[in-house]
Amino acid sequence: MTVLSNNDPEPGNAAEPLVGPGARLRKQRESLGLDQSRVAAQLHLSEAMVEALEWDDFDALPGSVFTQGYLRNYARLLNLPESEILAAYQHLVPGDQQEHLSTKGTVTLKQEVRSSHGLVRLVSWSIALGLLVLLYFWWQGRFGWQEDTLVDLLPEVDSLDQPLDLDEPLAEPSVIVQSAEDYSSDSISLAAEPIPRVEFPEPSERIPDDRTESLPVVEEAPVPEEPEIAVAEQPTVPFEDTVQSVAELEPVAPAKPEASGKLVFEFDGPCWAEVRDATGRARIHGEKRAGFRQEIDTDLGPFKIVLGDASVVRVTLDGESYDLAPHTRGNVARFVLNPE
Amino acid sequence: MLFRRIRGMFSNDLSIDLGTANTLIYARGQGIVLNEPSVVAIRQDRGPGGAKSVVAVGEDAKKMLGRTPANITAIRPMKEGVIADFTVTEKMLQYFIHKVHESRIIRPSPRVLVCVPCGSTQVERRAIKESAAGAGAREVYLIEEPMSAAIGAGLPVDEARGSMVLDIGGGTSEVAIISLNGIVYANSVRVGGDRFDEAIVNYVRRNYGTLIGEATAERIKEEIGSAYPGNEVKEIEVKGRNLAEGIPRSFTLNSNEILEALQEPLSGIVGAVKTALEQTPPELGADVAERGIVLTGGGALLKDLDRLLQEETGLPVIVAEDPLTCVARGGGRALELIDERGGEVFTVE
Repeated sequence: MTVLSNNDPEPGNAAEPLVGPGARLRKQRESLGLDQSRVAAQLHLSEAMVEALEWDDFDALPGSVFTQGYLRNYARLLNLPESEILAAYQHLVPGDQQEHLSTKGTVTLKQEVRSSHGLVRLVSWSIALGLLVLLYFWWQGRFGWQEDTLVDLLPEVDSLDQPLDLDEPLAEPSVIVQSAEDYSSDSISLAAEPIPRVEFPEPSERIPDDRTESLPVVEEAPVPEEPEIAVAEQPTVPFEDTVQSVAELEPVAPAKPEASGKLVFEFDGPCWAEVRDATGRARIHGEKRAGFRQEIDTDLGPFKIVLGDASVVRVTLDGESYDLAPHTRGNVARFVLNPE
Repeated sequence: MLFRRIRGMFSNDLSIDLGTANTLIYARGQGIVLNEPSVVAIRQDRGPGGAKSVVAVGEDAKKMLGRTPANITAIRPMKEGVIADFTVTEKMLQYFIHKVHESRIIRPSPRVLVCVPCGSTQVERRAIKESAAGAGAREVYLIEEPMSAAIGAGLPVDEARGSMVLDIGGGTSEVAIISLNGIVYANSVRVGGDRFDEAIVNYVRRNYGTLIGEATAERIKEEIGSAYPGNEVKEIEVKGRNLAEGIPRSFTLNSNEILEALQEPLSGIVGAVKTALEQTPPELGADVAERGIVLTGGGALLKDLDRLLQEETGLPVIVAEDPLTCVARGGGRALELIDERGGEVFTVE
């Protein structure tokens, strides 16, 4: 027992690193006055095994599990602390033998795939990121499409409209592009129509400005288009004629804003609607009932329009019904209307 | 099926020691991850045919044993090593499997190896298998408890030498002789830790005219219980209801009394060991005589049980390291060996 109490952790380990459990057991047995045969009888082991235990000759003993069991029993018989004897044994025989016995033949354990595994995390993050990117493109594709088509169309509209300052609706440019004949007839008909509405004072004030602006532009009107017009219908018509024909259209331009300038919404049934002007101010907002009607000046455009149920709303631009079908998905129409 | 396999990638292989008293789970690569009493507390809603719901499982439920109101019952779904209540066992397993996969987002679907008593019938084994499958296991393997215990204790089961193992569980004690990865002889007696507790309750009632609960009996067993007369006598003060007066009384018990109380169940275990030794082929018997018997299971923690067996059989008896977890750990190693050598090595149908 004195040996135990003196056995300080540091010096003990340093001074006698190779002292196994056997020496302590032997010393204790001798101090108690027991002989090996008696111990062997009490432990039901052979004397040779007791001797092997006392001399740390573990190769002569059956195996780690049994050796540890015998040591524990021996220590208990001699009233020695079992844990210390076992610790001394494990110090002497690092726990390889036990592993060797029990998992003999076990080579390498198959690595489990866990959610905490680095690679799994990396893969899942990249999948999530990929999905986000796809979502972004889809979003762009869905809502950017309408803007794109408008932007595509607008230059064509501008090329013909700006010089003439026609307040044509967006759907019409396609008609204009078709042929000079259509164009002229259209514009003439437009010229005929708007005249009765000349009484609007504001647009009339703008006429001179528009004209001054438009006149020089007429000269700058893209040449390639004019020959085309000429070739299509009147191959022999000289350039002056085309200029003249354009000049004939001149009165149309000033008449346009007078006649139009109104975007009219008429509701045949309940529908949620939102119309915002260029400044972002809501002109129509919220659910409107059947029979609701609102006129908005086109000057405030372009408009951002959302109609919850496009089928019950009639939109009229400059007195002409505006087709909502191209902008409608499901029941909802969502588009930007640029009256210019 | 495919989804289960994917879920399985995020689950650990588990070895479950579905014991009568405690359920232990060993997760591959992690060690023992769960050790809880096999107790489930169930609430029955009022009225005939009222819905049943699980109130608590494991440690929490054990605290309720014998202390529940009328609408809650704390039950032990395993009796004598086999399933006594199939549904409740399934619920309990489900809870435990989820508990060891707590941090996972994906519902676990692990491969599970369950230990069964070697004396269990085909029907009982099938019940355990179905119960584990119902609790979400992808694949279920069964292994006989003594084999698992021997592997867990570190015995050289693959050698051509006889190793004798005695596993004393809560409901059963299994004794087996193993050689070359197979069981040469096995016997199971329905005596275990629960019978020790029962014996103590009966003893106290007979000699003190006082009724004590099972939990108290277990505490007495753990603190002063012993299987062999020792040099020192320990005492414990316990409280129970005096049957004559009907009033709770406190009294003192000593270790010798408990030793006397435990005589009957202990003799059952000793008898089983002696029978096993008689039935063992002589070569293997010689191996056992040379090296000794290894004790595993919670029952091996009863003081001086090894001493008793040593004196009774005249053979060296050793207690395995950490006997309580031997079966679960052995199951874990068996899973590794199954991966290596194919599923037929240890499993039983």
